[in-house]
Amino acid sequence: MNTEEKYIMILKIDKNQGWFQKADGEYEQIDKITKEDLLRIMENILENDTEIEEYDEEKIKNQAHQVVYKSIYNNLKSLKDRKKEFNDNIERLYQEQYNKYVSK
Amino acid sequence: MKKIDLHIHTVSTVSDSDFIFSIDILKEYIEKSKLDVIAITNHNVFDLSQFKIIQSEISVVAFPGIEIDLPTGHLLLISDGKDLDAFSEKCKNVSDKIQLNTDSITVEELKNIFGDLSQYLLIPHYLKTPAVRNEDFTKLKDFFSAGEVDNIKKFVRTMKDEEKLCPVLFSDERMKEGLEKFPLRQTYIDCGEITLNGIKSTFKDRTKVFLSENDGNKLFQIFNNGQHLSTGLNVIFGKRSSGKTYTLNQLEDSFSRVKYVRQFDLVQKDDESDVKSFKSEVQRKRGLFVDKYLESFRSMIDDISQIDLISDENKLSSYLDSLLKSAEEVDRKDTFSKVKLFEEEEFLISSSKGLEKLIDSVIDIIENKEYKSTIESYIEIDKLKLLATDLINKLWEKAEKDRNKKHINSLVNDIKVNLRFKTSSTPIESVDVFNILLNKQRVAKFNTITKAMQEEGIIFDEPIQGFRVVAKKLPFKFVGEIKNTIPGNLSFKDAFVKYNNPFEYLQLLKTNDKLDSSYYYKAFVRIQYMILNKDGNEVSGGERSEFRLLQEIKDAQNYDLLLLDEPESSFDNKFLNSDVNALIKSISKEMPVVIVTHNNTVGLSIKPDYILYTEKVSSGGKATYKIFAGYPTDKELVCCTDETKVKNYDILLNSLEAGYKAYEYRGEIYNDIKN
Repeated sequence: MNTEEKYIMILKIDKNQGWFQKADGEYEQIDKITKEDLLRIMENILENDTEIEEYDEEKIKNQAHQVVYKSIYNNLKSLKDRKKEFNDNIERLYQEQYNKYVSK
Repeated sequence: MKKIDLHIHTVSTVSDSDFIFSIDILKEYIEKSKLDVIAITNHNVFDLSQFKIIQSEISVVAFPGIEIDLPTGHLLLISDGKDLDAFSEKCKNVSDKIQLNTDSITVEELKNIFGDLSQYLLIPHYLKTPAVRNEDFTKLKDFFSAGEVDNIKKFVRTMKDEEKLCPVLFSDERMKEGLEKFPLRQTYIDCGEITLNGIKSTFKDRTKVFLSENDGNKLFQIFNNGQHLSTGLNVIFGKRSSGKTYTLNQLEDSFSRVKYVRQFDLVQKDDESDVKSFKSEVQRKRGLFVDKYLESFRSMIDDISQIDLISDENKLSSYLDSLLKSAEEVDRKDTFSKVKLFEEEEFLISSSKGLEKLIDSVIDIIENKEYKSTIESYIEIDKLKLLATDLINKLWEKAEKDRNKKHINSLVNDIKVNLRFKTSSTPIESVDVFNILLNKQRVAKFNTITKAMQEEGIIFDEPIQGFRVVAKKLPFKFVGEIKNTIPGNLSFKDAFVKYNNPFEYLQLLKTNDKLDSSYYYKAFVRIQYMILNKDGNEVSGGERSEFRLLQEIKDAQNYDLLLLDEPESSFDNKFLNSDVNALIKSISKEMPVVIVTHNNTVGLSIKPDYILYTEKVSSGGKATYKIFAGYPTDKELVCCTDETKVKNYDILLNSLEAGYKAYEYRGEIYNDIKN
């Protein structure tokens, strides 16, 4: 499955555990995630084409990982679904001011 | 030549302030003003018995009339007075309909009451408030013989325009007890027989309507003693303390809407406070433009100052902390925390702003009338209407869904709160990552925009009579510059450290309790005003005065009379001769201008239309001022009160050239230099 990946997998399930991708590209167990990691991953989702593996209770045996993975997955999924809306929002953000003070 | 005033009030009505009519005052006014014809025109009323008394008491022709309130403005309707009873009856109909000062009658009602309007002399308030306008004017146009104006400037301007009604200037005065200063607003007509028809036909030929008895529209009366001024450019000469400024002060008293530039008002000073006050004056006049330029920056600041990134970060931390803690406790789950809803997160409700804006834009295109044909050549309006309907439906659907989501969220929250009370497990906090990330983007964009706005650049460049007013934006270089920009003598020392990071700078500004948030936007960019001269350099002290004078003269266009007292006190001849003279000359084509001067550059090279010479006369220990007047080409100037005369040539030499000897001496020097 991993070989057919089109985009970077930033959240994945492997060896019955949940993993997230660190800034250096390596993977780390999901319960080691920090606030900075989370923010970086979220920004990554909005800025780049990324993949997140769907939460599957069966595949994760570690119960702690289940709780963390599920919640983070839900949050990231919702963000990914709203990527278009987010970018529309950025586009509109202070457009008037941008045109007036920046564009010449 | 007949002098007429066909707009006189003798009855106090709801449209007047209270007054008591005095027949003696009316008689005195007629006599002193040398009137030949008057008309009594009270607001919406004709007092027959009073009119008969007036007729019997005065020696000049009096026509009966009435000033009627139409929906848009006032109309003078004057009768020939042949059937006073019938006229009185008709006017009673008007009085019945107009009881309050907010009432009026329509043109149709007017026609019903008075029948054939061509039997009367009809004069509307024309360039005078409240003017008969729009439909009222169009419907009555054919019956108007003249239009009333309220000052000399409007009279002269209207007279020159053949398309306009023939202008007339009347007193519109209340002949009341205690009236001391008689009005000077009357009109002369070259009319043989004084009948209503005679006056009407005179108005039809505007070459027979004048401001003065002998000088057509070149002169007009300024004082009750018969003193006249030119409707163009007047120059007053005279020795020191001979009554020149006194005359200007009197003129200021006698007329309304007078622009008076006093002596030394504009004199140059080189001290710092003068520069400062000059700049702040220029700044005040142009402040509106700059405020408008900064308006959207201001609204962005209002928005940005609501963002708290630290609190955003804390929310994310507490989400993650609660999540990890909840994961640790996974083995210790009890029956309450095992309930699925315990870990359920809220539905996120996205903003509808984007969709709403889109709908507005589509509707804008549909409703645009100006570019309708261009739009239709690309898009079918019907299709746009379908699109709008579709989008509106989507908005409604979303609103419906959002309502449900909100309902479920509050339900779930209630359950979660109850479960939390009963369990020892840590609940997972909810977090709105969408908004947290959006706030970060907001801040980034704010920083970009603010940085660009702080770059040096010109935002305003207005050429004014050879000068240029330039408003420049630039970053603050020193903390003192911010202090000078924002009122309240506040310290910005701590915040200024972060000036290069706009968002952080704003956070520091926010910590200053004494700083009103409405001033935040001013603390980001410095606006510098400069007045540049022809060479592009900042103006000197002398040039500042010149700029001020030009501005004052330009401003005079908004007034009816311009008075200038010795402009040479502040300027050099070269400036007076070139710019000022040209400007004064051109303004005097529009309105009467009076200049007091000792300077030959102003006095003669400006080519005045009329010359006045003042002289102080002491008799019996009492000082009075005499005025001699005449055209520049007249050999003699004449005093209107006692017909005494002075030689124009002598006056000019004495006033402008310090006398004949000095003039000759100067001539010799010039000759010597030349040779």
